[in-house]
Amino acid sequence: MRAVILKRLALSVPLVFAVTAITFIFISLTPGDAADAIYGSGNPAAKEAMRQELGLNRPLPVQYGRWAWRALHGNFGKGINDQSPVLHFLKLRVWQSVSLIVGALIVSVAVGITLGVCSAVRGGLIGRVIDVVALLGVALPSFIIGVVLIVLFASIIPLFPATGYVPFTQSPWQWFRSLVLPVVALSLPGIATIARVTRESMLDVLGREHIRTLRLNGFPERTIILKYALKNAALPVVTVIGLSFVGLLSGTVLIEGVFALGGLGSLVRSSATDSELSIMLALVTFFTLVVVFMNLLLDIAYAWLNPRIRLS
Amino acid sequence: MRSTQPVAKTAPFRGGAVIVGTLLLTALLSPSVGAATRKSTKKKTARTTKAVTTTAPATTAPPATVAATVAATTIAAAVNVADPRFIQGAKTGDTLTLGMLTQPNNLSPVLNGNGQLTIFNQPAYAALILRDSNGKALPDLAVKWGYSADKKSYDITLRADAKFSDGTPVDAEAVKGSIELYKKSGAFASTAAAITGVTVNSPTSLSLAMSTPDPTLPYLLSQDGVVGNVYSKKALADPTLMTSGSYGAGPYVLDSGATIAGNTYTYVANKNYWNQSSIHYKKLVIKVIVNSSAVLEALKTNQVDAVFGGDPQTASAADGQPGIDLTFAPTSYDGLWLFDRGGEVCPALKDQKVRQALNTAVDRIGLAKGLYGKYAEPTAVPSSGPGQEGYDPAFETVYPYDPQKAKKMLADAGYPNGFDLPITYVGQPARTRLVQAIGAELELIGVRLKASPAATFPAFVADLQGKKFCGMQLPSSISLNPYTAIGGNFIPGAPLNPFNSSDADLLKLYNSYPTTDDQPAVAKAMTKRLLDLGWNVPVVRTSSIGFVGTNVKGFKITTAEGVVNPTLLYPS
Repeated sequence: MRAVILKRLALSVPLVFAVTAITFIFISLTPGDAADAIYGSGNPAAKEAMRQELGLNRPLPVQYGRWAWRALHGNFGKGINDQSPVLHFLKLRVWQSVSLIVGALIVSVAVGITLGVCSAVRGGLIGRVIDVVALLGVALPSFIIGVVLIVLFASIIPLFPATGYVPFTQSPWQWFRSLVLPVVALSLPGIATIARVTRESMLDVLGREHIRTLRLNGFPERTIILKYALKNAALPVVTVIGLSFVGLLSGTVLIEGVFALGGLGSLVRSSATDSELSIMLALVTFFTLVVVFMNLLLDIAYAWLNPRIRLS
Repeated sequence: MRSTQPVAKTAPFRGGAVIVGTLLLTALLSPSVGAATRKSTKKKTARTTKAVTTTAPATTAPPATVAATVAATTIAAAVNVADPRFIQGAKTGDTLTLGMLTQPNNLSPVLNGNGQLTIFNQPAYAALILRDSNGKALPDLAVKWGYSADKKSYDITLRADAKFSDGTPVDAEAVKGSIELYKKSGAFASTAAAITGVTVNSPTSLSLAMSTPDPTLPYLLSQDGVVGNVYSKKALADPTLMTSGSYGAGPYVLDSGATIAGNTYTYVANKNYWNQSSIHYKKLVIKVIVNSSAVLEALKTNQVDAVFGGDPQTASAADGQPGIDLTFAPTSYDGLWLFDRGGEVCPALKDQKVRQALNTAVDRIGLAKGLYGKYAEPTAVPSSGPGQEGYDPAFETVYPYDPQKAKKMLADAGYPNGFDLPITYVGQPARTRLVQAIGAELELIGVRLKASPAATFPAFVADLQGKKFCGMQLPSSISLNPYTAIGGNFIPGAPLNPFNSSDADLLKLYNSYPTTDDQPAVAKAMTKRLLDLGWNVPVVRTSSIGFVGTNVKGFKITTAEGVVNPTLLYPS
């Protein structure tokens, strides 16, 4: 097990470099730079001075090397437009994103698995409903779901605020209320996918012989489903949770826009369109590390669920 | 330099304000600055603590002539002249929350302050002059301003009691430093080119040395023109501080702890503001909501008190809804810009006949109605609009819609089969709709509009400078003084003139404007010349739109002042 974890962690180092380097190349391929973003087509002298200062005229590998060297020393640089340290931007925004992503992860896992199990056990109508919801969840972009939720549950039935975020420290209740709609909008595609995979996997497991044996031995149905069947059915579900999690990270970019949340997702969008290279690279590093960490957790979950992995 | 609304409408392209601004230097040659200010002084003296002494203007020249601007616009000799932010009988509210569909790149007024983005700077920074919602120039940090008799210097007298939010006094040295900083690193530094030097005469008096008597100074020195914003010593020593903090003498000061750039900007009342009775809220919050449906819902549920910015679709959705007051006024003209007037990349555009044919081929009435409803009107006139200097309604009929005639004009010019016209634009949905509609019209006369949407604003700027495209789509302000607008857009070296097109007649008119005795006539002649040259294909005159809830007063959008000043809003 320890070997698995160490191997994963070792792999994450080249991964971070590869991802940031690719980001660097992609951003440099887009026409225009930070000086264009700030000065438009005016003040060419100030623009050139800025390019010199930021090293935007240097060769790409030099620029990347400079960034990587500093990043290794914990210095992610500062913003170009707003010249605060990059980590300051992340610090200000990270809790909004964490609340949103963790909330959506919990909701999509809990609701997805519950729905999946229910439909596998009860079948029939619930199964079909889940199919429809799954289709909608996948087909409808989350920002459209977000707008519909705002109209329904903030405007017509004013249960929740339409936009914005209230910090937990300010008011836990308002914090919760401010998160309900964005979390629902963000978790819907995940719920749909997880529910479908859970159902398929459960149906498969419930049809197996060892379940029949358990039933014949008089085990209560509840125990059979929750203890034996679900654990056996969990492997593909864990895989799909990992995939959904990555979807949640990218989903925040759109959802934060709709609900006017100032998390990392909206920072991704604005830093990309403003050629804010330092912020973009810090975000990419952060998200890469989060994904690596999540995958590690999933690996541990695999090992726990499947003794063959654990023992090998 | 008012940036026009649509450019900066959504966050991804908020830098748009910058570019347009660069080109569209607004001028406000406020019709009779002196008169306007006198009036306000009279009306508002009640709240000042000491008696107000006003001095009659030195001359009462006809409005909007150079004489009016240039003649010493002596407003008031005493420093206790009226505060334009003061509103008799207004209560102080707790929090004003303003919704914006766009966000600034940063909070530095030097780099960023322009067009609607000045809304983020106006709370914390006071300028020398304040333009009110009718575009009138009123005293702010300056109480008196005007040209010297020889018109070579512009003399400014400051309020003696103003302080920055850090408690240090606003003095002539700070103003000098601020103007010099803007000239060096301001995003629109070229607007201040006529100011060649700043001399401090005393702590409350200074003179600007002028290379030409720029008639647009009252605009430039205002919160809209940005050049007149004044920054504290600390900010002048390290201007980057302003990108994330506030260092001005406005009624509010930024609360950095409660601000998340790009999302929520929180300002609190400035304890050192010189007139506490004209601060209308304890707290001012600007929330950036990029989704126009969400912003409307936020307004309906009282999450925001008013919204600046919005598209015709959102406006139509809000129209008639209880509790939402819709306010809009035409502030921009939109359509195509034909850059390559010398025919370097698109030889056809060298021919004036061809450019005129393009102007004749567009069904402006149909496009305005179909795309914008009541939030736009058809127009063929570049650079100016109704009520503005340089405009004449007769100009609208110069290019009546006639595709047959347009086709014939093209054939006469040697292009019976049309030609390819590559253009660039900022790829937002509303713009794409307009570009496609214009493209469909041009298709009928055989001109193939090859429109390439730029994914980001920096990409758009790169497109413009790369000389790959023969034109672009971009809305441009009509609130500008013609001198500023032409200077920013149509003379060689102007930011929006990448191919450096030049026309001797236009240039002659432009150069004569500051010193002529009849500026309105010269302004009209300039517009007419532009119209005949066919350098642009204006199609519609679009509106800036605002939505106001029931809690706020003072929210007004006009053609002369298309940007709402949050410090002038007060509780209803």
